[in-house]
Amino acid sequence: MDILGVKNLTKKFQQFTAVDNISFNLREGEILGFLGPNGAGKTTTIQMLLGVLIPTSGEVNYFSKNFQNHREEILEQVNFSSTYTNLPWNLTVKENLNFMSCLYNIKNRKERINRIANIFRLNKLLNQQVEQLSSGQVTRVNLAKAFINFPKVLLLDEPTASLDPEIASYIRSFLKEQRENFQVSIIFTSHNMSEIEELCDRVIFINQGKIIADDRPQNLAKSIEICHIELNVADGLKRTIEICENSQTHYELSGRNIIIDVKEKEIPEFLRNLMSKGVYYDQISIEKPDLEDYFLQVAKKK
Amino acid sequence: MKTSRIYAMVLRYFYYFRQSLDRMSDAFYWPVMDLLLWGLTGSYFKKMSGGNSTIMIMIISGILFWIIVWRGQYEITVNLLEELWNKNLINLFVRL
Repeated sequence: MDILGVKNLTKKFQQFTAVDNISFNLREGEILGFLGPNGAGKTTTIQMLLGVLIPTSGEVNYFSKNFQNHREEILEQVNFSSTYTNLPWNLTVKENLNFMSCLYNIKNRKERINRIANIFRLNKLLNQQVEQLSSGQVTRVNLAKAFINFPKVLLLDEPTASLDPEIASYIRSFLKEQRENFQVSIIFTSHNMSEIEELCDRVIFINQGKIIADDRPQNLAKSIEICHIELNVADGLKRTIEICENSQTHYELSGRNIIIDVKEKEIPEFLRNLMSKGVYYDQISIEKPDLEDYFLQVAKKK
Repeated sequence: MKTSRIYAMVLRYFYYFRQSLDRMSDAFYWPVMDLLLWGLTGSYFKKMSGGNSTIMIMIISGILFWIIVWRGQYEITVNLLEELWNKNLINLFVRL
């Protein structure tokens, strides 16, 4: 079942088109990665999905209801966390969560705040002002705020930025758990590609306001054919370079270490070729393309 | 408009207000000083004019209304700036 449907969404700022006729959907319990270089239109799209920006054209539907006509009802079941917004820095964590829970009309506020504080390990920070917290702690408070109403749809704009690896991993597990137990649907933007690969069921890649790919992260990575072969050459470095140059293969040299870009299906032939020329290497590693390679390829095209 | 949201905003500014001596003095101290100053000046002029208080009542009423209007616009402007500095506007606009 589609929880969110976006049809032909466009946002123009005078002559500049930030989001250009994009359409996508978000299924119940799905974690959708929203990727793209800086200025691609991700945050603008999220702001339109939150009703903070009014689209130039297009339609947004949540729970099969038109967002513009049912804004208030819909936003009670939606929440967000973004690196571009903060909570008031001169209020304590508890005060912030308390006033936010009032905004979302939560009945048992005390109980909810304690529960959220337990989940996000904020118990010891509840009486501290936000300005006294580290950026990682602030990120956790922002996430706690995003879960204060236990939303059905969550829009998370780089939620794990500034978190240490242990907390980031804990948050990812928590998000997965929420998805599994409560069928929470999540739109997730991040520049951490391994995180996207680990967490997201599907990835939408946006560039210059347009969707250029919509697929599973593994499939996007597979669309890159080039693998990196790293060799520590014991004997025959010159011959290796000759082979690369003759076949017009890109390589990078660092001492006796050479990294060669080879198409995945051509790897066996390439290695056979090295052996036939008497090249000996004592270390080899083959790096398969991942989502980061896909991102870099698109960014280079830009 | 829901009362819970109005209450949330009142709560948000109450939390802020009680921590800030500046804001408290802005809200209470200076208006009281204004009233005292103009009240005493008024009573002096009343004595001098031999008991004709109409003009003074007009002046004091004018000052009272001026303080109310000025405080209103001051609070709105400063609080809006505060939300901008805090990058909190989107949090509020999503719900208000």
